[in-house]
Amino acid sequence: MGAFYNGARVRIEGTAPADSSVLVIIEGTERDEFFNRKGRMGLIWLTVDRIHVKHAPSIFLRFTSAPLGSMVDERDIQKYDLDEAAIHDRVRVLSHCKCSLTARQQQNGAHDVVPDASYAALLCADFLKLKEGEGIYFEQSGAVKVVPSASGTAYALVFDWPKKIPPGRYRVAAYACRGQQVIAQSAATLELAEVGFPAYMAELASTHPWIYGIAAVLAAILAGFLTDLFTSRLQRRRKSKAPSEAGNPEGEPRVIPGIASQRKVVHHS
Amino acid sequence: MRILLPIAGISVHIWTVIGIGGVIGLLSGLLGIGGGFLMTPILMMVGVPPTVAAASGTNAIVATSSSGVAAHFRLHNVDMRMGAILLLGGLAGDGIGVHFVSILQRLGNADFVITLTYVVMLGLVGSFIVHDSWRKMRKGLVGRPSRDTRHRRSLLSRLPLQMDFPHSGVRHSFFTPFTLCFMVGILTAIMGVAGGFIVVPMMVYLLRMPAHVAVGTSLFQALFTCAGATVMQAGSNHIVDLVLALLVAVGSTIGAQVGAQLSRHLRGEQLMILLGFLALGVMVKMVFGLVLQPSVPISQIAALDVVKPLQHMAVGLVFFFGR
Repeated sequence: MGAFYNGARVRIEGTAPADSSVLVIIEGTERDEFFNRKGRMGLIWLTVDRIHVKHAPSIFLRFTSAPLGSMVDERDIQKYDLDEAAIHDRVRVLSHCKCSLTARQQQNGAHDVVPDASYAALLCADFLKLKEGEGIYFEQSGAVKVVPSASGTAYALVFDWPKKIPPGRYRVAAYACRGQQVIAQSAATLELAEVGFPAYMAELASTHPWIYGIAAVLAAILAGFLTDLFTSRLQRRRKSKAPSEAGNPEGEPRVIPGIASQRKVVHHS
Repeated sequence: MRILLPIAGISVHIWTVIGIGGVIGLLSGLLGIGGGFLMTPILMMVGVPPTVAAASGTNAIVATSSSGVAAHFRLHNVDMRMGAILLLGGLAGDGIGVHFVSILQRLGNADFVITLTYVVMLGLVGSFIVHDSWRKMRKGLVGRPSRDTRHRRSLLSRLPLQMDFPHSGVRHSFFTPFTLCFMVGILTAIMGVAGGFIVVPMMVYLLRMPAHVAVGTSLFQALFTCAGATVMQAGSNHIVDLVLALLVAVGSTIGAQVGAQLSRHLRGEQLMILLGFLALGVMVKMVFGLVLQPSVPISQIAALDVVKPLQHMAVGLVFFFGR
């Protein structure tokens, strides 16, 4: 990802056993996130809770060659964590977190409360809905193309990498299914990394955060003052040009009415 | 043309971000508001994560307000002594307000009180400004103090530590602007926004400062608050995206210049009426947010606490400019 990164087209291909359908899951590393939750109080919607979601994958993309239910049965879906229910099981949702704390203090989670099972399930469902809306948890059925080949089934997946997904290491897992069961699987790592100027900036922000912060403020102040300097000079130039162009082409000194009358008074006295 | 934001980790259209900055800068230079209330939600719409949007927006406001302050400074519209006292009062109030919020949260109805206070405040301030400015514009009552004001002044003039504020052409006790901004600071902590909507009308109607000077002084105050907040967010949370901030700043600094120049062509009442309508617009948006059911009931938290170190900075500023 260079300075002018404009998304990328990703191609994943391989060979699966003969007569199998294929599904590919791309998952991001787990992280902690914090949310406000709104609830209805009378006629209005207000923030009623603050939620801490632990162990949530940063992305969850699933591509299949056919609808998931027709490829594999419920037992294997659960066994291999093939649907979003797997996220339900893995994610830990805590309520009443203290949002006035810094990020580091929040991640300790010392003040969080473990909600009861039904409320936790509700919060988790809301979390998944939000991520689906953001376009970083999604499923595309029929996106994996499978064709019979000499060594079994050749599969290929081509898709546009969502521009909203930040750099990081992502786990790519492919599952071959036949007779409603997973018969083979393989995994690899996809690394999306910044290079050049963005990489330098990101490194500076994490290794020397205070210097970076002060530099950011100084750069912003400089930008503000330079714009002011530029516009004030532009205005001065316009003002100095305006009278000579308008009504005084020879460049004679302009007589300002108020000052001229004052001069007259001084002259007579 | 698209560009990669190194900290946000996403790619955005350069002209979209510059355009967003331009609109916010125009409002900032014209009305003396920081623009934070617009910046974070608009940047989130572009796809920037909420925490990065809030922190980088603060950094961009540093550029906007420094451009605006420079322009207003040339027009003699910045009262630095008043600005420093307001900053100190605001941040002291903010510090108390944070504790007040935690007490409310423990009582269990924090958000109801906070939202209702904000909606009522914006409604009252907005309606008052629009009504008062409209009345003055129609009857030509520009700058004429009322009987009430003269009476109030005599009471306030008995307070200790009286100081002259030559730029604003007023004389007040140190405690008058300090206490007013202390109260605004409490509201700011409760509501989670910088409070330009409240500070500018307060300077005009309660401290009797000229509207143009109030706008310049409010920007001066925003400059220091946002500069401190940016350093804290970068140092503690590593979420300031300089590329994003500078792109927004390109638009917003030019917008702030246009806004400051535009403010010269408007009378004080006209500026205040614009501010009043903007406050009412924000209030209406908040009411819609309260009444309409959200499509997803959870939303990511954008703001993190950076108040305390800023209070120490404000003490230094009062010492420097208050002499």
